[in-house]
Amino acid sequence: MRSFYILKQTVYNIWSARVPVMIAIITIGISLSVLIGIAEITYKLYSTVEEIRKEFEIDIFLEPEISSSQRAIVERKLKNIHQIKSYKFVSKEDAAKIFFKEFGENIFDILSYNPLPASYKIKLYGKMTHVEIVDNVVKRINKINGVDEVKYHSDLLILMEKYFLIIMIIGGSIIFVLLLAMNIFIRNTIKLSVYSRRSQIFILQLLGSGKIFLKSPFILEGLFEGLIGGFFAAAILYFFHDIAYETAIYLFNYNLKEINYLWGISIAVGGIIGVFASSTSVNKFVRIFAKDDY
Amino acid sequence: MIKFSNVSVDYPYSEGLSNVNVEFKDKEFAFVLGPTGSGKSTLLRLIYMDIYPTNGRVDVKNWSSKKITARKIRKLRKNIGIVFQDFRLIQNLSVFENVALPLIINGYPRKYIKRKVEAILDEIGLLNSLRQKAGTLSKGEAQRVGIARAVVKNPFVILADEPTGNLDPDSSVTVFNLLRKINKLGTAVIMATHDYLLIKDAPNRRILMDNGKILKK
Repeated sequence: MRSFYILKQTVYNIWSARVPVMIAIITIGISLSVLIGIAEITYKLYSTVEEIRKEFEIDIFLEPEISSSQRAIVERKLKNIHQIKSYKFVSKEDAAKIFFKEFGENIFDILSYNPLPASYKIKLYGKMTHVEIVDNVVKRINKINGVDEVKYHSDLLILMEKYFLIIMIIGGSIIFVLLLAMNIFIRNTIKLSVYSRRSQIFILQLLGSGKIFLKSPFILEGLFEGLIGGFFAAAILYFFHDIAYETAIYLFNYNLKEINYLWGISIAVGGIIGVFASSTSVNKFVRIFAKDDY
Repeated sequence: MIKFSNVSVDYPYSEGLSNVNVEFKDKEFAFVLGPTGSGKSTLLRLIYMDIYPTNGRVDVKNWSSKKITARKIRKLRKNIGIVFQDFRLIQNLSVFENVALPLIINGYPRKYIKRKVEAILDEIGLLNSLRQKAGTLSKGEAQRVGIARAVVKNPFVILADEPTGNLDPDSSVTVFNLLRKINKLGTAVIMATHDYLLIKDAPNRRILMDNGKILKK
């Protein structure tokens, strides 16, 4: 009977404030679809950057006349650098084979000798591939006797970090603003509901009503707005799926078929925002409209 | 049952009550009389702890204004029936739902609520209106529903604050008789009124108030 009453009051509250509720739902829907789109793109960029980091390699070219004992010392010193995840030795012969594979010509046929030096290809741990750390590692490697030259794509790292940071800041800011906007819209509609029901809140208090009974219709109203807004956002994402699919393939070579799970995320995020915004709002405004003893 | 000991209430621009000492007994029907602003409503509000004394204390059964908590106030109010001059019904709910509300809040089962509410509505002659929205009732009917809502939870006392203030003479008599009937069944009634004509023949105790003071107990 309590549940029935709470549900009935929720429906009544929503129906009474149907225009603000609809505006809130539309705002949540649009904001959430943009938010999820941005979050998805940011996440994809993050994954791509992480992927690049994982594949990031440093080439260490050894001096041409390096002896095997000297090479053993180089290898031992590389082992002592804790940022290094793995290393692979590429002999002069291996280098010639790679040259043939990549350019289709035998180096001996061109120069009649093999000028390609022996080298190590090293990979760092994912978290160690930031420009400053890489530079430090390279400095240490350069000091090792027997090392002729160290090469790596520092420009790629710098570019990646610079733009990734900018994208994260912009994406994060937009997400924050959208979350704030949704929060404000839900809070406002709940505030209107609480305000228009203030005499009812007072009556219920005089009848001995507890906090949960008093607040539940308003929190359910927020949940409703959030869930329907989330559903609306999912519908927008679905509607624009084809455009997004083409764009994503074109820009990021990313298959948006994975977008299906966004339905669930969209509705869940909507619901969570709805409950959060309405709970904080109802706590504040019920306290204002109710008596001190509440 | 209800005891006021040296109770004073200060309002920002007027004196609410001044050193009031009065006691109400179990199953008593008492009138609190006095002109508008004499402190009648303040006296009642102190009983259901809507306000607290600035000085002194109010004891209602085992609850004391000195040490009552929000949780205990809710419990106290579940045992008190309150009737207002302006009825304070929830307009969008039906007559049935308004009367059932205290029982719904207390979590009673549906069957019990239905039986109890229908019995009370039958008693006050509004059984045929149980599906009617509270907002569509006449003033007399609305006040009867207000009384039904107050009595449905079997309170030990009903506090009626000018219950006939908004009613025509016929409805006033009906409402007054209803309160007397409830009292005869064992519930104490404290009725604040300035309708002297209505109660002139009633044999009950009269507490006369003016300017926040009790002139006669």
